[in-house]
Amino acid sequence: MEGREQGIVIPIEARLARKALKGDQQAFAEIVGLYQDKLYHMAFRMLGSRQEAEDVVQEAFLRVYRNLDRYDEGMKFSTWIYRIATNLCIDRLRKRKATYSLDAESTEHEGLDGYAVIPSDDRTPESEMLLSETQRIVRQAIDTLPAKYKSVMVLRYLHDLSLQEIGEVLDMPVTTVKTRVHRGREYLRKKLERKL
Amino acid sequence: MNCAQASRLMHEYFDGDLAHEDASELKAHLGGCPECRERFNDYERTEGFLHMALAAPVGRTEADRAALTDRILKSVPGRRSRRLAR
Repeated sequence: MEGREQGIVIPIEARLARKALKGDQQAFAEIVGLYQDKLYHMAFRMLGSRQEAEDVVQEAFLRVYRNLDRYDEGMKFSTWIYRIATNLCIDRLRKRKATYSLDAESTEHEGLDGYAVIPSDDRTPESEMLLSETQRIVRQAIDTLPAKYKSVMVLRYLHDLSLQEIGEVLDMPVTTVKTRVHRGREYLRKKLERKL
Repeated sequence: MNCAQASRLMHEYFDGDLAHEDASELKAHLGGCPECRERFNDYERTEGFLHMALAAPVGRTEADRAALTDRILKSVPGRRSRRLAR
């Protein structure tokens, strides 16, 4: 019976992944439909730029497509796809930092570890208008977090992932995730107490 | 319980991992320590702000969404099914 294997219900994504692997484009389109918004929202919160968020989402789905044969059904599909997208975002944030550091003269924008952070400059007016002043201040504070903290905080507060799941997505022990959430929370508390 | 221990338990609380017995100890400490109470309130506010700011809608239209879907589907090699169809 479709959807069942030895009495075990196969999650819809795993079924779609199997079909897509056999060349079923409609099944792949359904995967895109299921995850596009989630990945875009995450990438946009990580990168603060529509263009970059779209590029990351496209690249993530391309990687998913190319690696369907390596998808391990023992892992939740969402964990796998978030891992791919998060890694792409982290890479971009690191590259930005590297580019910025090369010609940085000011240390005005510094994150938790003294990492330089560049403010994103291509937010569209529409997206800005949706943010209230408070939201803008909070977003600016989050933007100053270094990539390794930002990814943890975005997964936690945007997708409400458990610390255990975040550990699986980022492929790190849950104790490390905890430390990062605590440090991120502490940093933001201090950052926001003077501003709001 | 000292303030450093209380701070650790506050994080556990906001992680959703605070054990029941620790919760009553933390509560007792907060009852007698205005500094920690203020810190707790600050964390609570920060949590609220984080949820609000990160989960807020990103202002994307249905057209944006459709355009990206199109771009994604065009970027993946669709050879197998198309060749079969020909």
